[in-house]
Amino acid sequence: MNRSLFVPQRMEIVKVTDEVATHDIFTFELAPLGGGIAPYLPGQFAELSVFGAGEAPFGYASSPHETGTVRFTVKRMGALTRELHRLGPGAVVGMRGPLGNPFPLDRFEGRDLIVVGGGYAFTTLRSLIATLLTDKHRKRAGRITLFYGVRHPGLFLYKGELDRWRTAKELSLHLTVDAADETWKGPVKLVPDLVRDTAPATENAVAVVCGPPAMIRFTLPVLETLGVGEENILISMERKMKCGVGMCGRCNLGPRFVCKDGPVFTLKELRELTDDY
Amino acid sequence: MTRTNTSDRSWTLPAGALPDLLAALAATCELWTPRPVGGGTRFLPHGEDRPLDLAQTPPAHSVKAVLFPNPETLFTYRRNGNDVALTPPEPDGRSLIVFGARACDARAVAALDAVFLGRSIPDPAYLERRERLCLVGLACVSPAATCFCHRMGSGPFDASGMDVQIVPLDDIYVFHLLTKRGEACLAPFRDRFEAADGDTLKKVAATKAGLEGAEPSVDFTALKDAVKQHRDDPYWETLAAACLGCGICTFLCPVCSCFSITDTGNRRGGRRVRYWDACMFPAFTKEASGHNPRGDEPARVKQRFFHKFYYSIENGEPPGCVGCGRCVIHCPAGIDIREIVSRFQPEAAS
Ligand SMILES: Cc1cc2nc3c(=O)[nH]c(=O)nc-3n(C[C@H](O)[C@H](O)[C@H](O)COP(=O)(O)OP(=O)(O)OC[C@H]3O[C@@H](n4cnc5c(N)ncnc54)[C@H](O)[C@@H]3O)c2cc1C
Ligand code: SF4
Ligand code: FES
Repeated sequence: MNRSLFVPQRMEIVKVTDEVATHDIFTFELAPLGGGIAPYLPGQFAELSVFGAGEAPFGYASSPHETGTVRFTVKRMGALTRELHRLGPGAVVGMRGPLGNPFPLDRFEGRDLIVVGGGYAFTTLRSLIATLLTDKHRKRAGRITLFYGVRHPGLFLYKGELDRWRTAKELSLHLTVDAADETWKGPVKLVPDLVRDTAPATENAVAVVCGPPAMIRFTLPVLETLGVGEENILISMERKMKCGVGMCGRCNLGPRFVCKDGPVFTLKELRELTDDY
Repeated sequence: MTRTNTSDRSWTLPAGALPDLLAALAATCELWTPRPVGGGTRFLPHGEDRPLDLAQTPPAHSVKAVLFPNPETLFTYRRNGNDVALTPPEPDGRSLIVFGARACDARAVAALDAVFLGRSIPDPAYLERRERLCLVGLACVSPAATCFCHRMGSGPFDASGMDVQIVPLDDIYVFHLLTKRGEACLAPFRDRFEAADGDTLKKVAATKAGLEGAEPSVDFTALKDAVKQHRDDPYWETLAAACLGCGICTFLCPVCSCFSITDTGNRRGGRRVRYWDACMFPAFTKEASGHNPRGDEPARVKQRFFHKFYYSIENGEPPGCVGCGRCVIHCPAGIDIREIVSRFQPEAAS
């Protein structure tokens, strides 16, 4: 971040993609107006601004090798996200980032990776997997097992990419839904159950978990039972944020801040910091 | 050294000459002085509209409001077609003198520094003011019954964080010049002062000795360990049952610096501002989904005291309390931070 701390970089929306059947999750592709894109890694986030509506944090959905633009996938929730969803190509928004710490890509080298995601939080996992599938990382990483669940089939993000990942030989993809429709041929179960039933090998594995609080809560014991140690389970945390740099005081877990010390923590760290994860 | 019996770092000013000195400072510097507004004294840009109040101890409002204004404009935005122009505020080149800050408030500046200057990037607006700051402090000669700065490792004559410390004697003020910045701010007005003589300095020392605390400082590390071990103490629920969640403790606190950021204006133009916020409010942590990690009162009360006595210490930052007692005076529910300190550290360090 080379700009004055709270003054965002101006970004032009170049493309908006309506991602899901409920039309409440859009992906925004942004190009910088002046200046380049500050280097970032999967797991980091940025504060996006709609001037007049405020600012909120979103994980990078794009991956660093996708140069020229950045992408964020945003679910419509409240004041800022509603205004953002009204904007189309040509509109100018603000971006402050990257903020926070990335996934520890070095730690994944030579390890198998179990990735568990649910809901819109899958965006940051998309960035992680797209990065790990690049030539630079592919050779060094072990096998990736990806679990991704949503409430019903129309809610999967990045469907085109998921189709391509089906055939990637480094990756085994496990999709699930809570409730099927006539198009759905896959399993109908909750994410934690899918992980348990699939029982991926864990001897040499690191797990990454990202999703709604309930999914996280029920997935953690499954991973531990399968044999992933608490220091090898990484969780990307979410807390209400404003400053994103450890000043405004609201996103703390005990003495640490999710914005500046996270958002990625190991389960071991979380257990020492808080009861609420 | 010209005269043996006088000090070139301690100057005296007749009490009656203070208004003129302040007027002269205000002509060239950004000067803030404590003056009454309603029943409470606060630091305001110097002016003749209200009298100076150096008596209220401590002033109802702290120096925090000068270094961390509420609200503060981060930038203005103006839309021009699709594009938008962003303009941060112009910096002020003048010295920033805060006159009459007490020991507790001066020490609190170190805690504010830890937050605003101690992160990966310093806060530009805070840094800009901090670099211009000359803190002209005032020793407390009549501490309030609620003051407990001694227990927080300080005392009414503590000069840490000050550039100049003033000690009021009967009809004079003794100005101790403590830093280069303090000297630079007052040097242009040297001819208004006299060098303090030996007798005067003895009187200062005697006044100070009379106010040395009987109460020793707490051991902050031991206090941290004790607080940390009492994460699940039902005591927090008892405190929370009394707390109204009004947040006055945090607003008056010279250390508390949590804030929020919001836009004021419309889509065409306006300002992004930050304003004081507080861990005592449920909305502080309430997420868009409705989830609130500190959704109940005990969690919020705990956060306030944990931040002050556990998290700050754990992170190697100054303690979150300087013993000014403002929250003790103003809490409508009678929550007394001194009792919390005593509860977790009954046998204070000797
Ligand atoms: C590290 C991180 C990464 C995130 N990544 C994504 C993402 O990729 N896609 C996505 O759709 N959402 C993401 N979120 C959640 C997203 O920030 C909130 O949905 C968003 O702030 C809601 O803003 P709002 O103004 O519409 O809601 P309001 O309820 O009107 O919220 C008002 C303001 O409070 C703050 N706020 C409220 N809820 C949250 C929250 N859950 N997290 C942080 N700040 C909050 C924001 O400043 C917000 O503008 C992420 C959150 C975090 C902490
Ligand atoms: S005594 Fe109260 S007002 Fe003073 S610093 Fe401590 S918490 Fe803040
Ligand atoms: S968002 Fe401000 S401290 Fe983390």
